[in-house]
Amino acid sequence: MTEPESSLPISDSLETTVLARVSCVSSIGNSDGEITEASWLAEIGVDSLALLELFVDIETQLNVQIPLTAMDPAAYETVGDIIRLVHQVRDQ
Amino acid sequence: MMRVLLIEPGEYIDGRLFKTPRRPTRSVALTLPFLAALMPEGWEVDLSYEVNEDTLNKYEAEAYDLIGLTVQTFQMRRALELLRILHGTGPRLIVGGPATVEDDHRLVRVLGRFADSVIIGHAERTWPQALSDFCAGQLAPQYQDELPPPVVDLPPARFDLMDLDQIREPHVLPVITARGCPRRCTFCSEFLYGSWQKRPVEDVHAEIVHYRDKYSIPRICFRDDDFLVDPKRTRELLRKVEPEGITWACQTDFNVARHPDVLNLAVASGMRTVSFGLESVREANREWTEKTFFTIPEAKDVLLELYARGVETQVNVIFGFDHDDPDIFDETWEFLEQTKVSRFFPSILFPIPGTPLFDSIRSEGRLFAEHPPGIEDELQVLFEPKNMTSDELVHGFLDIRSKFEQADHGHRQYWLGRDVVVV
Repeated sequence: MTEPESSLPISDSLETTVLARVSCVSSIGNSDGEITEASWLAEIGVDSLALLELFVDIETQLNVQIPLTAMDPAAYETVGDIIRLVHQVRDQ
Repeated sequence: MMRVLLIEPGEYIDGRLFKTPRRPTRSVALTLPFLAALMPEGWEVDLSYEVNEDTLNKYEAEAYDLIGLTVQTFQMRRALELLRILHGTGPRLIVGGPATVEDDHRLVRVLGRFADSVIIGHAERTWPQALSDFCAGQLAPQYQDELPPPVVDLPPARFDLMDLDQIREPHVLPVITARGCPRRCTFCSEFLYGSWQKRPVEDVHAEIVHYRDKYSIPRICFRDDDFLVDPKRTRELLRKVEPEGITWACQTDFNVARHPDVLNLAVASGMRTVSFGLESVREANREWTEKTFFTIPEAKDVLLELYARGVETQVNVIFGFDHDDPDIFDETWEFLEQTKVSRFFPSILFPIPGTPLFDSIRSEGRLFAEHPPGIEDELQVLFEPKNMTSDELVHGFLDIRSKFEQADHGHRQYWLGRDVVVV
């Protein structure tokens, strides 16, 4: 039986790194693997400031530079939105 | 001539940027006028408080060489927005303020990503250094003064650069006589700010007289964390202040009960409002937080004495300590009724990273999150209370605050009116 897409295990290193960093700044942690690509940032306790910390963390971890114009917390709702941003930045 | 714009960012409340033509205080802000006073010759300075005006439209960013922001943690969201908007408009961006110190410097990395330079902690030496480096084309990404803040020969703040119409009248001017605090209460953010540094009494006296004569404002708010804490120094300073025709406000603790001559001198020299850090009416809580330098009977005596002498009093109480249970709210209410305090400022315990209390709660596994959120919410309970539930804590806090606001205030003392807080 196929699990819904939102809870598929994430094996890609970029996605794993982003998830690990999200877990660090989330107020709920991720010991039970509850945070997935489909998780809503507001529901896992990632406020706008934590999100900006996350961006800076990701820049260091993945050696990418996110344009300041993209660092607008209002533009991101889910963990997947962040993963897509990092893919875009890495591909440019 | 170089130009700099110094901004205090606004604050989001309930998702909206809070704006008001006049700030709900009579006390003039200190940081920006003091930073302006520290600047060398050859700089033209504008000050902007975003809470009062549309900073981005009123001031043309391109017209400045530098833009500086002073940021408190609750202003972070807006500060980062401003930095993102201002980035690339021309001026170099420097940011500083308490947000660079609190939460174990957690926010410095984020601020540094958005600004050209971050000044960490006190700026008496580093702000002029940053300006000098900027002029030499060598602005560093980060400045931090490892020495204690200087306390001798400080320049008077440039209140002449402010639009005082943005603050309610009659105005009260701020003066700091010492940095830091000699007390070490285990919950207090003073653990983040280093040792206690006292200014010479002569310097403080000269500054007060300067403000009175230059601005015709004979009202002062001593912004020290604990103004009456050192009886010997307090006597020396207040004897100088007494003949100057000043009235004043301060924040202190109830240890002054053990020095009645200091209390008498304070009232005689013009004290009209005093804010006390009571924290809890239960002695066990104050033992737990090492705030044991007064007793509840002493606190009551001081409050009733000041009431009789026409002095406005404020009592600050924190709920959620380990020896609090749901009965704490009734006990606190009884204390407030008995002591006829003018103002009551309750809050829910906020464990501050870097304090012993934070470490203690964390070691017991009672923190809900390793890092508190950067944007404070007064109703957020960030830890597991010991003897009541989080819901009981929040509801008890809201109930007692509301009960005090709705109570009859007709008999209470107020210096400059009930509607606007000074301290």
